[in-house]
Amino acid sequence: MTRHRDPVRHGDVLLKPIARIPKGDRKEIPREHGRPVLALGEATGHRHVIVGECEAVTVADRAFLRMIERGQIVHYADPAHSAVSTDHDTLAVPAGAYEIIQPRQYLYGEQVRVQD
Amino acid sequence: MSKTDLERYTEACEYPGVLDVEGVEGHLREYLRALGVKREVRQLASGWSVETSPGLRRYIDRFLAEFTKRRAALAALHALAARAARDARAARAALDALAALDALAARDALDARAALDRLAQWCIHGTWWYWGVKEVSWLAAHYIGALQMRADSVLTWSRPMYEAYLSGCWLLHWTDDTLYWARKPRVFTEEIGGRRRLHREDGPAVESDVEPLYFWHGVFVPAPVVMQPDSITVKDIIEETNTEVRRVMIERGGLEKLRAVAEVLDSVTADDSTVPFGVRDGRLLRLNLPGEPLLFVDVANSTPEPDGTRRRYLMGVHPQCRPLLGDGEYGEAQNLTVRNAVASLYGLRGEEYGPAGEA
Repeated sequence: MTRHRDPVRHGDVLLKPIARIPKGDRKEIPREHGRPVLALGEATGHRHVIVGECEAVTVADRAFLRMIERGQIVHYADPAHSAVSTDHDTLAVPAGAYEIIQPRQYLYGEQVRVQD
Repeated sequence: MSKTDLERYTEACEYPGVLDVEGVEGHLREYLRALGVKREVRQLASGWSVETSPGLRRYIDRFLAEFTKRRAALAALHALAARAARDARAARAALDALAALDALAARDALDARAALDRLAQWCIHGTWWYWGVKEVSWLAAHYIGALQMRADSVLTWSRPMYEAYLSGCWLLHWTDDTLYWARKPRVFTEEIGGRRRLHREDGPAVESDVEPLYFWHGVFVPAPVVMQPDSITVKDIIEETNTEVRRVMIERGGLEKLRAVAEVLDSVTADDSTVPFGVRDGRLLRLNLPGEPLLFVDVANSTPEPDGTRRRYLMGVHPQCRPLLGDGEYGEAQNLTVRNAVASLYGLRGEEYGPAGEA
């Protein structure tokens, strides 16, 4: 029996638990220092990064994460990953598969990706 | 690695520090030799322009020629940029390029020159401050690592880069025939939680020879947000799609203007434990503006600032709180509540939204 997992929200990144990453052509999400960067703040330079053994890919323009073991999502303030930002606390991410959802907003009849 | 090398590097991280133009250029030539490539080395000093920098002029001309080929695609981007992503840097680049093309087409020499310089500034600064790929401090740090790892092949090119950094070099910009460089800028920072972030209240936080850059408590913002906050309008706030920049715009001069047109449709108290944390202290607002009324959800960051306050963010919501599924797809209509509004941003319905962890 699969253990129940709740979603994890880290600023403008929501990790929604799913059974498995769908089949299809997989493209790896770019990494820094070996860690996948799930989102990058245009105005702040901060980044949401997964720390821990994992697979992070896109399949048909949707993004997915599979934590091989329990890890963390961390908000780093710099490209060197030397300083954790004070904007978002570090959260635990249990093992398992997730869809990575970034919010959109609605403006003038169109959906626009939320940037920070 | 000798301690002195690391100490010298650390000292050089205090900007602007020393500037030895001949030293920088000598080390950059050595760097080019190590890479086995030929380039002229030129400084982008204060007052530079595309017109007086032939290598940069050729680079920009090729850039624009490529844009011209893709003009049809850019027209769509232009429309999107004008409405939905006005101040995003990528859209700004496209707008600048289009402005330059328009100026060239009109043969208005003065406007064209200004637009070309603006485009060149964007190309050179690019994303230095969050990618670091063109910033010399990043490249110079390889020298420290190469010493530790005894990697002779890396030392060959990283040592002259390290020395160039110590001599005052900050940014590099490559063209086909020239390696341009800029000196370290004067920077203005504040210290928060033991680390520094860019901030200045009466001018650019980065005084660079390439372009002045404005930051407000670490957020990169357009100049008027810092210098003329009274000029910020409700329309400016709504059309700014970067939530951090929008938040700063509200803080700087937009709060009272927004309150004057906002009607609260639903609200959740800060201590309501029946809803997820990210929904608490939230409000669903209708902004009664001429034309179509707009719905926004106003929420607080789940993680408090070091002083205990919480940042607030304003995000546009579908008038019927339909989940935003992307690619122009929408979920079914929902009641107009804060929870449903927050969930809809993530393509979810209110009852599906209940994160175990939020930050």
